[in-house]
Amino acid sequence: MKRPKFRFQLMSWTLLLTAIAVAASFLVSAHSLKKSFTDEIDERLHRESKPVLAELKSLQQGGVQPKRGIELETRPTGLQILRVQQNGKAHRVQYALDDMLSEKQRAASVGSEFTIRGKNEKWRVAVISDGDQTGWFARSLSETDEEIAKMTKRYLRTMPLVVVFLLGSIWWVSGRMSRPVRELAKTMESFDGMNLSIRAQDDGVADELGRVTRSWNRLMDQLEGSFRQARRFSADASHELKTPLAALQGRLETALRKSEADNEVRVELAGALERVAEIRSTLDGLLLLSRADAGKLSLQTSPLDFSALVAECLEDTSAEFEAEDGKVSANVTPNIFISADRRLLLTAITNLLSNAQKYNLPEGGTISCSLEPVENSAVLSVTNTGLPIPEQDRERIFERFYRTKSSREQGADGQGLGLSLTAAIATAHDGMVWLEKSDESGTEFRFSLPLAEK
Amino acid sequence: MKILFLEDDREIGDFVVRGLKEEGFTVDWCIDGNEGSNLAADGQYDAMVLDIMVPGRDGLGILKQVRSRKNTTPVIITTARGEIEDRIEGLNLGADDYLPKPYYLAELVARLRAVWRRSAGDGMSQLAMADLTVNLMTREAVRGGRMIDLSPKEFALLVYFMESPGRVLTRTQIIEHVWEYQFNPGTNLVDVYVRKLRTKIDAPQEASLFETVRGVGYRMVAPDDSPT
Repeated sequence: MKRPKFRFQLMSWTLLLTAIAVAASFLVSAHSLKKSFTDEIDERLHRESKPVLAELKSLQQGGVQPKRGIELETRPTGLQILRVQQNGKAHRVQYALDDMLSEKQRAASVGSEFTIRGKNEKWRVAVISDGDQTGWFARSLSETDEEIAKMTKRYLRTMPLVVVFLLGSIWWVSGRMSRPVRELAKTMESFDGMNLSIRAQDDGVADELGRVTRSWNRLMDQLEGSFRQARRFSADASHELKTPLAALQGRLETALRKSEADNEVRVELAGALERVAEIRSTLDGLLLLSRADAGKLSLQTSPLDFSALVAECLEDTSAEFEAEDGKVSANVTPNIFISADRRLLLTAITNLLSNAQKYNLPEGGTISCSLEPVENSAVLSVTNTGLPIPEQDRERIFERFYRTKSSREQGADGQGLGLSLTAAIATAHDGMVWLEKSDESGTEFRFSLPLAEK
Repeated sequence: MKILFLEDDREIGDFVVRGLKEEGFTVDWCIDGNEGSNLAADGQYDAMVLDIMVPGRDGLGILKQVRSRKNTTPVIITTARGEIEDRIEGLNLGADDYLPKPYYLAELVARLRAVWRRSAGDGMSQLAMADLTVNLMTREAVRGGRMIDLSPKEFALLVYFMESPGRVLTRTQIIEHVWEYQFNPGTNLVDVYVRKLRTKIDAPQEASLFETVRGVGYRMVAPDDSPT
């Protein structure tokens, strides 16, 4: 799901909620304003109608009936008398207003109040009785309506200002709030898996962000710590193992020299010596990798004829592979010069070529090798026949000591360091190695190094 | 051939010294850099094998001291650290060769003979076994008057064998000496090359100078010396 930026989310939500709150507060205040006006008018109707009813009563005792246009001394301006009812007889006073009453309103009980809608204005009507007479009195609500209309207008006029102010302040606040988030995200994004010393700026604040920052930093501390330990471990272990290994190798070699007569013993000793060489080579590989991890792989670089070096290695591969009925075809572009550490480069080339031999068909396999310049790089390609590398292993074949199921089953010799060494050597030379393809037609690895500058 | 050998590990020193003596070298072994420094200054040696990390004056210090006195005795530097920096520094200070530990005695012997030969000049440039002679200067091999054409690797292989006559060399020793790269498990490169070399050296009517020691390796031995 596509999600808008944190800042925009924050802004739109705040805006929506504010709008709802403002609208609600407007409705509530309009309602209460209206109610208080109406209550005031109701109270006024009750108060003013009392003397009017009394005057009407005294007039009536003089025989004057309430009728249209009757002049009363006690009637204040604005108080309208719709009708007066006595002993079941109704006297209409204000025909225009009285006409607007419905049957139900005419039958309304004493003490009730209601609003009627006139032509231009609304009227508040109260039914008031003094015991004998019951009168329908009214006052105009136009003033109240005007007040409410004025308030609405004020609300509507200030609304845009409020919105603009809110938008501005939310923009500013959300920017301020999200800045540390953005900075943290930037720091986290800059982590490329190699530089483990990256830490996020911790301002020591105990809010959620501060906690995220500190968790991330703690995670990185642990990661860096265990990485450093792992690196140091293989470097230390290699050094520590070398001395006893040297003694072991020396003793075996001495024993081999002394055991001329007994061939069975010699075979055992020679086999043991081979194993020592294997351990030694693994240790050297680990040491090289741990130096490469620490970025301390020192190279003794010199200008090299890559073509000649590949040709030399291919000569050995051909000699060995053809003795096993394999075929080697080569297409090496001559005079490709690079700048590299000769020993390391030899290790890389030999690893690729010996893998091509090891994981080939049991008989009648082929190896084809080419070296050519591609743009600013020299690209060495080594392709062999044989079983394709299973999909799930492809990502992992460059890992240390990783061996595919099939290679274990094939019982191929090797320490499982070859490809990771080759990759470390490539990286140290600003080059790379990758699996180009692996299918029924063959498995192809490519190794590229930058060409020497001319 | 008299050697100054500086090595503080008694166990390693012990069998290297024994091995070198068996190969006919005279060895002065010291375990302390200061003693080594004195011996290097006084004695007349044909070659020196100096370990870098020893108590007292270190191997590189002794090398510097030796060279500063215009002494051109061949020096081989050894170290367990295997750092490229050490190697470069050693060679820059005038070491003739550099041997990372652990090394094979056979390898040390071959390197000692090689450095010594280089310093001794023409007189030492020839190796011989039965009717086979190898000229290290012209890089020619001749057997019974017949010139044998060898590739650089075949030549290096032949020289390695001839420098340790009668000694069995294992495949690993051979591959580490002749090929610059390391142990390559399961390889039969050595067998392939020895077979090639053998066909070239041993003509059909000639006695074979090579012997396969099954499950161990190969050696070169003159027909007369061959144990029955």
